This record gives sequence, C-alpha cells and structure tokens, in this order.
Amino acid sequence: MLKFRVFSAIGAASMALIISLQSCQEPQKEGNLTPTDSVNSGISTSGTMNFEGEIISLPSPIQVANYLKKNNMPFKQELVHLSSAKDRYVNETKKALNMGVYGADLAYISNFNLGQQNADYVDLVAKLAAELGILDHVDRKIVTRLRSDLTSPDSLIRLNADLFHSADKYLKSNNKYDISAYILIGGWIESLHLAADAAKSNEFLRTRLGEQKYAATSIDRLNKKFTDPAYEPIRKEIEILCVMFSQFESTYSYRKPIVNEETRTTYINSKTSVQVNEEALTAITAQIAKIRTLIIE
Amino acid sequence: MKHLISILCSLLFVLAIQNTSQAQCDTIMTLCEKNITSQYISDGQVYRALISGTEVAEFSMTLFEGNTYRIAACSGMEDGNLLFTLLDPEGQPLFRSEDYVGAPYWDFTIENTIQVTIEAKLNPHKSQSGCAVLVVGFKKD
Repeated sequence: MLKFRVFSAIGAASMALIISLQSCQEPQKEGNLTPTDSVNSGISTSGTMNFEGEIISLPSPIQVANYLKKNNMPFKQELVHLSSAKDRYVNETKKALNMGVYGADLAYISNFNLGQQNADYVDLVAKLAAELGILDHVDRKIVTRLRSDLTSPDSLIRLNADLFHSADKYLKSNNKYDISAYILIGGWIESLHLAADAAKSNEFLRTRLGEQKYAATSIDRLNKKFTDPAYEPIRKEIEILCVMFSQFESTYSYRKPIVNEETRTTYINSKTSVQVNEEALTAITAQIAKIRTLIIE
Repeated sequence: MKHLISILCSLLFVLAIQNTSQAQCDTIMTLCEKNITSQYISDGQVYRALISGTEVAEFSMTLFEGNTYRIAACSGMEDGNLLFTLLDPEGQPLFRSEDYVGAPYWDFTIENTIQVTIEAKLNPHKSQSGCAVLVVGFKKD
C-alpha cells in the first residue's frame, strides 16, 4: 500500500535528472549541499523529496479555541505569545513555527472581541507570512477581509482558517513541505499550551488534551524527518512529549455507525476514552511549556 | 553538443509534465474546496497525492467529539473519480464512498473522539491516474 505519496514518479525522475545534470556539469559542487540547503530546496541529496511524501494531519488550533469558548474559559492575556516578539525570529524555521503560534493565538483571542489586539495578531500572522514569501500567493481577498472584519468573531475565525488553508495550499504546491510542517507544529504546540492551562480546572478539556495522543503519533513521525539544526533542540523535546502522550491509557470499542443518506451524514458512535491523571497532566504541561519556550525564545 | 541538446530537451519535457501535474492538482484543489461550504471551517490543511492504478493513498486523522466534519475527495473534473474510506483504529470500515455512488463529499458527526485512517483510491471505472485531493472542514456552531 502506498503511504500517501505526494510526488509523482515523473516528478521524482525530473528531480533526479536535475540533480544528475547538476552533478555532471558542476562536479566541483558535489558534497557541498548542507542540511539547510536540502531542507530549503525541498529535495534531498538522494533526489527524493522531504518527508518521504507522507501526509500528516494535525488537529486545527481553531477546534481547541472552540472548546475553550464552549466551556466558558475566561481570556488570559498571559497565555498568548507577546506581539512584540515577532522581530526575534530571523531564520525561516523560527518564522514558520511562530506563524503557527500566532495563528493559534489569533484563533484563541478571536472568541473574545479584543478589538485592537485582534488587529495586532492579524498583522503578526500577515507579516510572518510575507517574510516567508507566502503572503503574495494567498488569496488577497482573505487578507483584506481579515483586516476589515475584525469585530466579528465568526468571520475572524473563518478567515484565519482560510488564510492558513491558502498558505498550506501554496506551500505544498511549491514543495515547501518543511515550512508547511513547521507552521502546523507551531500551531499545535500553542493550542496544547492553551488546552493544558484550561485542563487544570476542567475535566472535559483535560480529556481533550489527552486525546491529542492520537495526533502525537503523526507528529512523532513528522518530527523525525526534520534536518534543520535550528530545529534540533525542539525536535528532541517534542520526541519526549510524544512518548509522554503515548503512555496515556486509552480504550476503544466499535459501535456500528448510523447513516442518513438523505443528509449525506454518518454518525460515528464508537466509544473511546483516554485517562489523564493529575500527575501526568502536570508532567505534560511542563513539557509543553518547555517546547513552547524553545519555539518562541 | 547533440548529447547536451537531447538531455536539455528531456529535462524540459519532464519539467513541463511536472508543472502540468502541479497545475492540475491546483485546479482540482480549487474545485474540491467548493464542497466545504460556508457552514464549514477549513481545517487549514491540504491533502494531495499523485496516484495511479490501484495505488491507495492513506493518512490518519483525529476527529474530535461533538464536531461534524465534512470530508471532500476529488480527482479530475468530475465527481466520483476518487473513492474514499474511513477506517476505525481496528481497521474496520466506518464509511465507504463507493457504497454511495462515489459521493464526492460526506459529513461525519462524532460522538466520541476517534482516530481514523482515511484511504483514497481512484475509481477504476473512471480514472487510471491523477491527482488525488482531500479537503476537510468542520461545522461551525
């Protein structure tokens, strides 16, 4: 079975041809490809593509923000990343990770009608997208509307999702899988950070946090594929986090889904549970904080 | 010199084919996004693969409790070219689009958070190879 191969044989062949041509014409450059070069070009020295063509799906930070809203969790300014920190990030990896962080924060603050702060976070996301060369390739209408529909939480949440979807589309169309993945990971860690704080006082959110163990399996596979030295300290800590998630006990029992053909809907009723005790919650919260610090510092 | 020209021609040929494939994927993606209507919010990601014959593309996804997700699957310009199946953690099918005339999209209401595997393959009666695109949205409350 094919593990979601993204690139065609033709694509791989053409890349191999490009590389073989380069090595024929410029033999003196052979061996000079640094790990960073490899990541930025989207092509490894072997001619295969980054991430081995595997597709990874991560939960949207907007879903976590929705859960916080549904559970009437109050806004906490200290939870969101400082808007003034944006200029700290000079390399592409850090910019991408923090674009994900600010995007998750934007999803969070969108629920609280914060006026100017909404505008500031929209600008932060847009500026990092511009610095990563993404902004010029996303639908301009999304950005324009994001800047003008700041008072409607629903609109802001939708446009935030559309912006990240549009960015992901551009990045994947242009083989910038590493940037796409860093954005997703930054957003995932920030949403874990928001959920972990709420999980201290809310059983429902504690369970939702525990359920991130499923996504952690995908993250762990993705995490192992990064080669940028700037990411290395983060990679190691995420690996530990994934092991911690894997230790949560979970159960599953199948129940037959119910189908409504008329509305084209299937109701999935299987039973699942994940156990997160106090001690595990404390440990995982500390680990999330450690990773977040590495990302935002 | 002749050798170099033939290599360059080959290179241009494969690059042209690759660009065409990418452009085809982008067009299919745009068409597929139309299935995520205004009631739904995109999950912010795109899932695409170039597949042929009986190849199966797969990935895992967490569907969180209390949400209704819409999954749309597209390949080529017509509905039903891409068939998709949702499998539970034990590999049991929860949904197969081919049971519903290759429905291009379907909604899933989730009672308990579940990790599913989504498998996508070309409809052998309609297509032999092409760009497979999946888009996912969840219903806004």
